[in-house]
Amino acid sequence: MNKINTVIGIISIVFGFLIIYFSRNMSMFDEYGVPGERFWPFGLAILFIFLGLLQFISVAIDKCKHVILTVDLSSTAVKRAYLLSILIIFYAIGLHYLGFVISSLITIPIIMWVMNQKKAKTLALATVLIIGCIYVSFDIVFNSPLPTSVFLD
Amino acid sequence: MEVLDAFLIVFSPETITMILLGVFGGIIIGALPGLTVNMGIALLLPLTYTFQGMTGILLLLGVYCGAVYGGSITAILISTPGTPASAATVLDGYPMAKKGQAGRALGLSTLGSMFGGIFSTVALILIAPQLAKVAMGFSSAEYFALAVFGISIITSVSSQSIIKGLMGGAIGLAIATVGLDPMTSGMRFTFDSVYLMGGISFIPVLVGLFAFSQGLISFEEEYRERNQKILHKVKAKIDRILPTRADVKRVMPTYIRSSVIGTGIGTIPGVGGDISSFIAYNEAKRWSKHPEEFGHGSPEGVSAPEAGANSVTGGCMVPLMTLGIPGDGATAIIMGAFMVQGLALGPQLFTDNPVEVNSIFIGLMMANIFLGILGFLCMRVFVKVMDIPRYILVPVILLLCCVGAYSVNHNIIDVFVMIGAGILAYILIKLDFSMSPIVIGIILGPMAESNLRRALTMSQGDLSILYTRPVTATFLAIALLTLLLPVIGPAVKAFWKKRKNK
Repeated sequence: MNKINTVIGIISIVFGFLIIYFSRNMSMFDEYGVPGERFWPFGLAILFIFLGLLQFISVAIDKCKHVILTVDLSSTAVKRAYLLSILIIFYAIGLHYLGFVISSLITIPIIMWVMNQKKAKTLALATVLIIGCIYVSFDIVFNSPLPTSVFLD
Repeated sequence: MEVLDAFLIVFSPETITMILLGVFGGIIIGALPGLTVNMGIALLLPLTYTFQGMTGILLLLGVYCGAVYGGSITAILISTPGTPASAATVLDGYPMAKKGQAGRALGLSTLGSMFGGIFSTVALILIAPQLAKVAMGFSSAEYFALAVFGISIITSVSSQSIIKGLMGGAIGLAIATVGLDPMTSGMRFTFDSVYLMGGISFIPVLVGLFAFSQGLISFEEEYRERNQKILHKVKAKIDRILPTRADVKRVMPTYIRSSVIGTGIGTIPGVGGDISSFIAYNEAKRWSKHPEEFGHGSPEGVSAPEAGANSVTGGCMVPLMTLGIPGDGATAIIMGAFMVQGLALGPQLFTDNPVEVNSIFIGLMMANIFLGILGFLCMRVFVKVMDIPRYILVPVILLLCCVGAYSVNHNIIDVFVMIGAGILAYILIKLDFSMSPIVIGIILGPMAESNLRRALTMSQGDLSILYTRPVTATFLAIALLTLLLPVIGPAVKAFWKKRKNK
């Protein structure tokens, strides 16, 4: 955890400097002394830098405590969760190009398959039921249209 | 007249059905291990767009009450608390179930939850208007101090590390700065993107932070459990659920004591149901005539944490409604629903929207009554729901996240924002960050910024406005103390201990 906490401190400081850099063209105060657009982001940037430094100090002081704690960012289970996130990104792209029904028909069985559900009947039934329930709730009951294919627009 | 109007709103067929469905859905969310109260509310938040007026907000309040209670079902039956607030219920609930008294334990927890919820709603009705009257005279400087107080107190208590809690708050504040400046309408961090000009839509971010990340966590847990061959099957036989008169007589003092504790704790921002339930449990043990029964299936041991946890729901609404400060992550998300409906929380809510205020009071009361009715009538249904496999739940959660994020503005970019926030949240949770400070930062950031700038404009840039006004100075001092105490506190304690030993 020591290494990770140090990296968190660095990211916080970098983030602070990025805010200062990207807000460089904004005004801090106007001619009447009234705070401008940069006033708040600049304060935030200072806060990020300060917290980053505090994080370094905390790591240095509580070295033993941080060594005991571990972070799991690369076990097989976590890697599978990352892969699922990528699948959902493709699903979102599918929502745009294919619409809700088709992209869901493809994605749900894949997720269930990855979660070790291999029975074709269960896969088909669960997929149809989930899509049906979401469609009825959103499109009919709550009158909130679901994504349709960009080609149908 | 306003009360009558509120009654008509709450008891309209649409609203009352939504409250009932909200409580029902909330109990199911709470009863499913791995699904959290915040996740349930975040998932349903986009739906509030489709309702006019108070219906959406009352639906979320129903989910909130139901989910806090629902966690006790798994705590009693399979020794797995559905929500952190039910962790203390496991201590005596599970031993009771093992002794063949699962129905008795569930009955006592249901009655305790209903009692706690109703008690805290009555307290809310009595306290909130009085507190709002006090807060009526607040100006920009006081509101800024309030926002800082809210951010500081929540960030410092909701994470294991105070620095990470504050970083979370700062991330939320940074997200809220994107878009048009609230005072000058100048562009900030928009990078010439039309989407970013309107700011990062906060509902997709909330859905990502609380629901999408939870979906990924559930997916990961399922893989681990499958490999370790862990099974969460309900085996306990449920007999009579309705508590006997003797049981009610025995636990009534515990219900009252725990409800007072829970309501009081709920009014303190950042201190949630989990802390309340443990304090209520300890107090019940301290006051009990049979303390030796605790840990082996004591009826008071089940009643106290449940009444304590559920009474937080009304308590949390006090700072939210009167000062505009959310008491925890769940109320922060509910605050988002108020913003969606264009309702400004704070003392002006009581003068500008009295009908809405009364609707919340009545709706919250009804939600707690429904909670009891559903708990007693549908317990066997909820127990069955606990067996829903995760390979069904995970795709449902992830799809609902995408569809919910899309339904806010019917914009596919919102779906990508939600996924980005969800992946970030998943990694941040692994790094010991809490999500509540981020939400609090997003919600309270604009309030803090605009009020600070307004106050400085009024004082022509003179910072003394922040420490010469008593209320402002008090809130800022408390905020500073809250931030410094975890750092200085242990050192002071060590110093006194050393001096005492000398």
